Amino acid sequence: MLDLAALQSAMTHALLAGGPAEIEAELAAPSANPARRFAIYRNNMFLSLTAHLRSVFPVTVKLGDDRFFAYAAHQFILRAPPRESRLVVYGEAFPRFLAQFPACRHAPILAQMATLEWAIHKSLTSPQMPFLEPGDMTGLSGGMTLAVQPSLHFVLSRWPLLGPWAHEAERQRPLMRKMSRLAVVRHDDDIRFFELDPARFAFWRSLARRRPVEVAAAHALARDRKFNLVDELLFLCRNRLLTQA
Amino acid sequence: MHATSPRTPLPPVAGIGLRGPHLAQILKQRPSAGWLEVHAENYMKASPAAAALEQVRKNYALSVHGVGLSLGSATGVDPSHLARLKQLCDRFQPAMVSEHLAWCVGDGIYLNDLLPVPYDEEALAIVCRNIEQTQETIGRRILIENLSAYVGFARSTMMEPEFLSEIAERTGCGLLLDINNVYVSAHNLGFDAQAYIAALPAESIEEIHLAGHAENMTDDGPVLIDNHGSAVAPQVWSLYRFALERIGVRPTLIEWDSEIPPLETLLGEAMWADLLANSVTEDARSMSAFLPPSRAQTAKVALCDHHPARMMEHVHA
Repeated sequence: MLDLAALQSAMTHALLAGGPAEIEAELAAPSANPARRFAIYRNNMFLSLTAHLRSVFPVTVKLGDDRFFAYAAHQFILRAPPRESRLVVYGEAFPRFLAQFPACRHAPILAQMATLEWAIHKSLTSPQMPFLEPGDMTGLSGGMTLAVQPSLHFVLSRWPLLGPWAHEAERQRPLMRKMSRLAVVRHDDDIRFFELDPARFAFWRSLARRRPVEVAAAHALARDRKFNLVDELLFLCRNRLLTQA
Repeated sequence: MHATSPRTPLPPVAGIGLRGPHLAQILKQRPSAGWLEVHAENYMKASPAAAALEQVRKNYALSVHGVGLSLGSATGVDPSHLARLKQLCDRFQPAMVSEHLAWCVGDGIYLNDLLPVPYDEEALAIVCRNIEQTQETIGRRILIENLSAYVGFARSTMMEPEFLSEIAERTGCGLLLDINNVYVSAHNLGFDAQAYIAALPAESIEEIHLAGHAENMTDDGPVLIDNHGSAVAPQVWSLYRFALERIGVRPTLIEWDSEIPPLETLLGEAMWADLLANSVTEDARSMSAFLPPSRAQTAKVALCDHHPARMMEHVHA
């Protein structure tokens, strides 16, 4: 007889791989087939995790067809099952999985849309910090760092994703490739998007990575010599993207 | 009758689960739910939900119900998860903390379901060790909830009530009696639900859960699935009445986690639980003192004009 640790390990394997042959003798169900009863747990696990992924990636579901999404989610769960019980953090690897999933080879926008949706999910589940007023920046020097809202996340895509995301049900028109640099942030109950040019994208992302202001500005200026640091800082303040942290 | 007085810090009335779709309405309208239950894992990260819970707790007693601690894991509980639970308890100061007699983490993988343990001495020692570690870390007693099960183990040497009684005896934890789970497991595994409840130590039971279940037809006949996706079934109300007569009134939660209905529906179910408890208790006035005034008023009105047929079903089933 297996000890409890070995039994639970065998049950875990059976849940993920299917077919409880290894543990069948351990199970008991009066008037029923124990293996069929055990399959209920397997179904629960896959259905509930798939439901979680559907809720995080609703537009990806629609773009790719519901049955296809169920198949992709099943394969993802098998390859990258959750490692902790806070499901809110489960799904981060799904966009990367889709990018490498052979069945998505002819629909690369799925992985990109999933990237946007994960950024939205992270924004929605991030706290909102007290924001910085323009007056709070008196005495700002180039060597200082500025904190951005924890809900500010960035997406770099080869397609203009906001159109299909906003009109999720009215797609089916061919989408032309166009580089898209997006910032996503939560303000109270709303999600706001900013479509940025390369210089501003580099500046914002550098600040989010806690680079000093002068380093962030240098990244922006390398992409656009007309980048205006003062205007950009005021824009960030007025849009409540900088925090007092 | 062996009714006992609960020592729970929750009011002995019905509460409801706080779920995302109802959060704004609860904050705005402050409905007269007796208390609120939250799933621990949903508030372990700094988030808008956690910020909202800070507001909610100003008006309601909280019960924190964990689904991810995996107290039945032979490899022990995850220390980082336990630390998060402690932080949560320190922050929100819930009246009650509970978890399941189950495991959900195997080989480091979170299986997102509550799996049963065999009822033998080895599992008993492991579960008790994990509960003691939990109680020591978070600095408070917890309640352990009976599971809904679809399968048992050939190696089990005890019945579930005996196993739960031993856990309570050895660790000092309390018990959370999920009546729907008893009904579901009794049907699926072929035992007597009333005998199960009668075999539990009444004084250890400090909270009750009620929920809906689904019935799936299989090659082996119907199997009940604990899906928390519908109203409490009449048979479960009957079993609840039996439990109330046996152990006395306890804080009772209406759980509804899938196909979540309007808040009013949950409050209606909670009201039925209170009415049933009121009809069973020997001294109804002692419980009325715990009801928020608006709730007590609603209950009086409802007694006159709310689904008398359904009430009869509960009384006579």
